[in-house]
Amino acid sequence: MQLVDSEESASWFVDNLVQKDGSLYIFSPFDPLFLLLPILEKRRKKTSESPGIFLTLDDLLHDETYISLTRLHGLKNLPEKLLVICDSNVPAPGMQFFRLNDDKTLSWLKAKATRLLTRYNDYQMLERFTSGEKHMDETQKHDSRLRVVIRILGDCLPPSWIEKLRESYGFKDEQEASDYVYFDNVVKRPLSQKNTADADHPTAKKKKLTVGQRSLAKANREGMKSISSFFKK
Amino acid sequence: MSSVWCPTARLAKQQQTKNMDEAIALAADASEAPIRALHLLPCQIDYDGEAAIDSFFIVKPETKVAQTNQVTYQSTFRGRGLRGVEVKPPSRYEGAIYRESRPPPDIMEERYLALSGSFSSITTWGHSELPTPFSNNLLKAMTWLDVTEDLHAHVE
Repeated sequence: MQLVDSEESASWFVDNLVQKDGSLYIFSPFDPLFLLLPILEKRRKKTSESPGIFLTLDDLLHDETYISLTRLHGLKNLPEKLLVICDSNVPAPGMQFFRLNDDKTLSWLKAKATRLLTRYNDYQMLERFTSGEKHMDETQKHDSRLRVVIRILGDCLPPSWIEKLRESYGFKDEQEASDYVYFDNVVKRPLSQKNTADADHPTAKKKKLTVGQRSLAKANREGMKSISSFFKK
Repeated sequence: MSSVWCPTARLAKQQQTKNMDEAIALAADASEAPIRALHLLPCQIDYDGEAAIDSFFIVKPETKVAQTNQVTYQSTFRGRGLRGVEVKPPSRYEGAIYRESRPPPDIMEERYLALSGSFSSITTWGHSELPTPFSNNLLKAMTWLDVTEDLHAHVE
């Protein structure tokens, strides 16, 4: 879910009603594996000696802080999906246990990255972002796009997995930091900062998409929590 | 009142039970709710409530056709010229308008949003110029949808 924030500069007319707050919420599909990844990681209790413990879906979806997680039971194909990032253990028919597998998870994230890279040219959002590619050779262009893709994926990932994904592509920290600044400024820049920012960066006219945290109060009844709230544990 | 575009409600309705197992609808089907005219103004109006909008906010289609097949409009608000463009939710999405209200007795929640209408398009307005994804948050968010759908598609 994303909140299209009016940033106090928009209002609605709805028939013959005025509404001061011109915000809009957009619900779009969300991959439940992004929600479960931090939970799987936390609960498996991995140590240097042991790859950790197996857990049932019931265990994984029961959390006193995030009680709405149990609603994910409604996804009948969730066990099947979990196998993409987990090892599974079936001690008796009808009983299935899961444990996060780091290698599988990395492959899954790379498959996500590949999908986004393949469709990169179709994304209108990134059109202006590709203008900086003119002077790049193919390798530089690929790396630059990959960094943007990792940044997009990173919005749904705990920091440790962003790091693992970057390492798997051989990216170093310091370069990454400047790319993030560029991405955040150019692609996610809030509209309200436009005037002051344009003086410094004439090309930086894109604005942000405010992703859902501020809308949580309204979302709670519908069973969603901000994904970033999982990562703070 | 909040406006919500909810794709899953429509998916669940159109694609029968198979897909209901694969996605959880976050809102009820809004297709039966009355359709409302929605305009997103490029300024904040410090007022919530009724107004004679249909008498004073006169919207005219622009005669000159925009290059991109967009449906565009002109109007004025408080003496300033506005140009607007019609935005339709993608076909998989459904537009719904909710209003915060008191929860029914059988629902134990602090906040409750009641369905108060639906919409099939929004007209979003810019000062003097047509809004673009670079100047308008709503249009910008629309360009994010195809990225986020790929991001959240199941891959193996």
